[in-house]
Amino acid sequence: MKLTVTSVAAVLCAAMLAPWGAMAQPPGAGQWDDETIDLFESLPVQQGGRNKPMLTLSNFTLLPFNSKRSMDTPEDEKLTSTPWMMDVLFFPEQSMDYKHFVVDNTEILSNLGITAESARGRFSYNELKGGRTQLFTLAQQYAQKEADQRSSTEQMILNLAGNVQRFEFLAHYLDFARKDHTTGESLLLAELLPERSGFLLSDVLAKGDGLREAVEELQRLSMSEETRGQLEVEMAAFAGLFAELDQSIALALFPPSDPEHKEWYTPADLLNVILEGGDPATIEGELTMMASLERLAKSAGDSAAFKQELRGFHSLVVGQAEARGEYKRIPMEVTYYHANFFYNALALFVFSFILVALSWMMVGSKWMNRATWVAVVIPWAIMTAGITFRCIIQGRPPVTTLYETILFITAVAVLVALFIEYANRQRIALALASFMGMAGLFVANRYEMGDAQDTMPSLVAVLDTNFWLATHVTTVTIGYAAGMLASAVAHVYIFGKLFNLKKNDKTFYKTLTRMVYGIVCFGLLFSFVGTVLGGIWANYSWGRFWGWDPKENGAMMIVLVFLAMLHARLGGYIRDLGMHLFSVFVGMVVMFSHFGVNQLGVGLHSYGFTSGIWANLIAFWSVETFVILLGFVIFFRDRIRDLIAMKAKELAQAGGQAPVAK
Amino acid sequence: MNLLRAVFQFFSSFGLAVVLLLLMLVVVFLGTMYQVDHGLFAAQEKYFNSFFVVHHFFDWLPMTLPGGYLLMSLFMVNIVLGGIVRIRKNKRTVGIIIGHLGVIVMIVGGAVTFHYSDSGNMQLYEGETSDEFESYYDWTIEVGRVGDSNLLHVIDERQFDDLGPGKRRTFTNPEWPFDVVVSNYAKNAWPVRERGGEGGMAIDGFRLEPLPLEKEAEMNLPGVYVTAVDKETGATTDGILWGMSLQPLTVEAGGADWAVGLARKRWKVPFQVTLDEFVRELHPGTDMPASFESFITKREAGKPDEKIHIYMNQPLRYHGYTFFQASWGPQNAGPDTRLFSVFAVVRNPADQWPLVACIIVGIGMTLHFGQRLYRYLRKETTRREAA
Repeated sequence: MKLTVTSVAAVLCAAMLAPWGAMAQPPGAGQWDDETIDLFESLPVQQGGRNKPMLTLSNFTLLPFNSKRSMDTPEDEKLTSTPWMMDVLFFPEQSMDYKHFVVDNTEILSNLGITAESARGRFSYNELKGGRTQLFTLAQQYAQKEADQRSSTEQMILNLAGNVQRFEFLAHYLDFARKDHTTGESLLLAELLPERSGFLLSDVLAKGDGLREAVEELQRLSMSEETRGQLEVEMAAFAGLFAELDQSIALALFPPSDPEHKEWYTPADLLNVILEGGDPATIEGELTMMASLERLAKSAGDSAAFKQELRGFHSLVVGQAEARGEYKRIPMEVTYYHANFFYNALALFVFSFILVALSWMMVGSKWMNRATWVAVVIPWAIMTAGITFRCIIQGRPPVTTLYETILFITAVAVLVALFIEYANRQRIALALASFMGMAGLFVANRYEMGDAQDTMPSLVAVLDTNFWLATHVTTVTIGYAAGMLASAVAHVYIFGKLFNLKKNDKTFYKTLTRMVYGIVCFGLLFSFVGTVLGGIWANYSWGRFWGWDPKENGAMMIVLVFLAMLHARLGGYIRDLGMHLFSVFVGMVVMFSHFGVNQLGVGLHSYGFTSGIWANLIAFWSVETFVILLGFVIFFRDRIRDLIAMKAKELAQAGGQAPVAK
Repeated sequence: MNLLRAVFQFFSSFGLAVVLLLLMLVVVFLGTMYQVDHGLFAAQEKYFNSFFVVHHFFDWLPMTLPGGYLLMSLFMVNIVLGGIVRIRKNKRTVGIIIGHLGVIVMIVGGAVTFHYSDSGNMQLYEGETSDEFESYYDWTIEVGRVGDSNLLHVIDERQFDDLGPGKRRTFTNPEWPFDVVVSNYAKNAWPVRERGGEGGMAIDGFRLEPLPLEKEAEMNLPGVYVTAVDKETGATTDGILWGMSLQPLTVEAGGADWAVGLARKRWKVPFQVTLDEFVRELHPGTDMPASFESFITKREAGKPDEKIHIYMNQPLRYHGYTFFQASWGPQNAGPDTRLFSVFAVVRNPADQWPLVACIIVGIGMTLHFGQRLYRYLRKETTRREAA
């Protein structure tokens, strides 16, 4: 856990109030020290087809519950995702009072028959428990419907049910380990486990053949009426022993000793391996891990012992994962999430934007000029470092998901703007660079929160090719970036003209037009080559160059609008203002191609289906249509102005009196 | 002469280029949106492969627009006349002309693909061998003598797909002992048991009920009525042919048994493919395929057999045909289920043209925009130095 001002203050206060008592305080939920948290969050776990640190899993478990990656305990303590996850796993009773389920719709609670003080807000598991049966009944019903047939309330109920279920699986994950097992009245188990109590379930699994024979004996008992009484006693004991283990499927924590076995094991998997006739010797390593996990769960009440056990478990799991070559990138991913690249870059871009605005008032100050440059380059470098981290962690080129396209587009747009600034030193492109950085990272952040899923997912088979991802996807995305940048420049032009800013500075507007022209040329090259490369990939991989897939069409539309713009300019149909209006339109087309087509739910490229984006898109298009209309207003206003000026001149020449504004 | 000049000026103008580009933009957009409700195939036929398209704006206001085929043809004329012939030729326009040439290569390639390529699929269970692939969308009526695989004639769908309700056409062939009268073709249909027998369309108690077209065009199952008329006796045999029928219509004529059936259009490839093994891998702990791949043997008379591995992004290219790993089944297969592999098979004479075009256009644009950038940077430097 990172040190924050509040956590330092809290520690100091606690030390002042009870200097010795603080040390002796019994550990409980939320009372994890930094080393314990570090150990836990760097544990590898397999989920969604890939191996990731517990930190990532915790982040993207809490995010859909609580709409953020932290939560406040009933004691008003802020928990980040890792200690939260540890509380859920090791102190489930307390975590059932955590208000971490967001209910954003007033109808939901009444539908579930729950009466609460407020109908929306954050609720704990215990508060929702009363409506649990109803929740799952409704969810089952709504799950039958097609996604686009569900109302938003239905979708929210479905999501909530998923979250509640996920929580239950996690909270009960270690029940099997916490329980004090005994052989009960069972003779079969007593024979197998002479100690009769105080054993671990992993010890039972390690019996292998003995356990299987006992199960077979149960089957023999069931054959005869005479042994029915004995059977019932035995069945009760067996069920008591394995009931919780059977449910322990939430986390695949044990890397198999068999290097050929790709799927990591959950505790329940180990039980199945043994029952299906597996030799305990082949999963000896896994059983040792399970034993360690059991001891870990039992020691949760004693922080020193817990830390000790966690060290042991950590080194077992990490050792095995390393032996399989599956641990290398886990610590890096932990570092990636801690470094918080994109959030920090966003904050710095905001700062740089303010600085650039100030620099406009201090024209000519060399010192200020350099400072603004540095202020824009640093956040760009940070976000580029973040993108690089992601590439290394995934072993892939920078763009594989919709989320990553947003990051990449932003980085490219900022870089191109910086290049333009370097060329013309007007400090317009510099301002745009920091604005684009700010806007892009803001959208990326919103997207990540809204999607609330691991942003480094496993890829579908066809995308599993680094060559084409690196060529087609990056080029076409650079084209998108250019489109967005051209649109941003155009906004400066249109609003500048509208408000008569820099009225007498002809070079200012000429520079803007030149910038747009340059960006459009650059964008055309990349979007054309990128689009065609996409076709070549498609032809290479499944035999058709062009299939009129929505994403292909979207990319083609960008190329078409760029081409129309350049040819209209050459033909003299549009001039400066026209170029800028076209650029705004380019931005609208890019948004359609980038986000819109994924929303259509058809085609090969609808990999980023996220509802709720439509609303944002429609808002964007409406605003941009309005901006284009403003452009026409400017056009006619300037025409009328010119006409009046001309008439005035004529009148003056004719000796009449020029009209004077009152 | 003046008229000719005016025509030339019109077809080579920037104005036409801009209008065509914007119309393409509109048609591509409308065609993309049309896919949402009507599927890809219908959108392609209506907007992109057509000369004209009537689009109903807001599902209400009908408007005729030029279709993709017409736009592309006009664009081709425009780019040749304007972008190659009429354009000023000097050091500064070299890049542009090269770029235009690349676009021309691409459009011609598109036309060749559109008119002269075949595409379909071949489905093989492990251990099976085949040398033909079948179309996704196109159907044929096959007429053949039972027990004689060499004598098989096909009537292409294009020759009877205009035969709506009540329309009929007779097909004949010197080798057939009968003529075939084809009528009432439906692109998507379902045979239903006829109650009461009214209407007179029932054959053996069944008639064809036409259905709306499927969103995924390969799901359409056509049906058609046929009547075989014996050339000598004039005796007739009526039948309904349907895409899913297991048995063809059998006709006894000229002392032999003949079969008339409706089948997906098939093409032969000049070699044989045997599926030796199909392997699929999932991302661990999920149902999401990480890869699927086929191990095949390619057999050709007079040549040694060749073992080939086909997987995602790694097709087999041979004799102008390309075999791609497209899909597999059955989708709910357990560990011991016998799997089949589906290859998309394409024969496209213009296969590599887009790559060539892309390289040409890339060179042209880089040259042109590079020149401009260089001039711009030099100007800016001089401007700053002067200041």
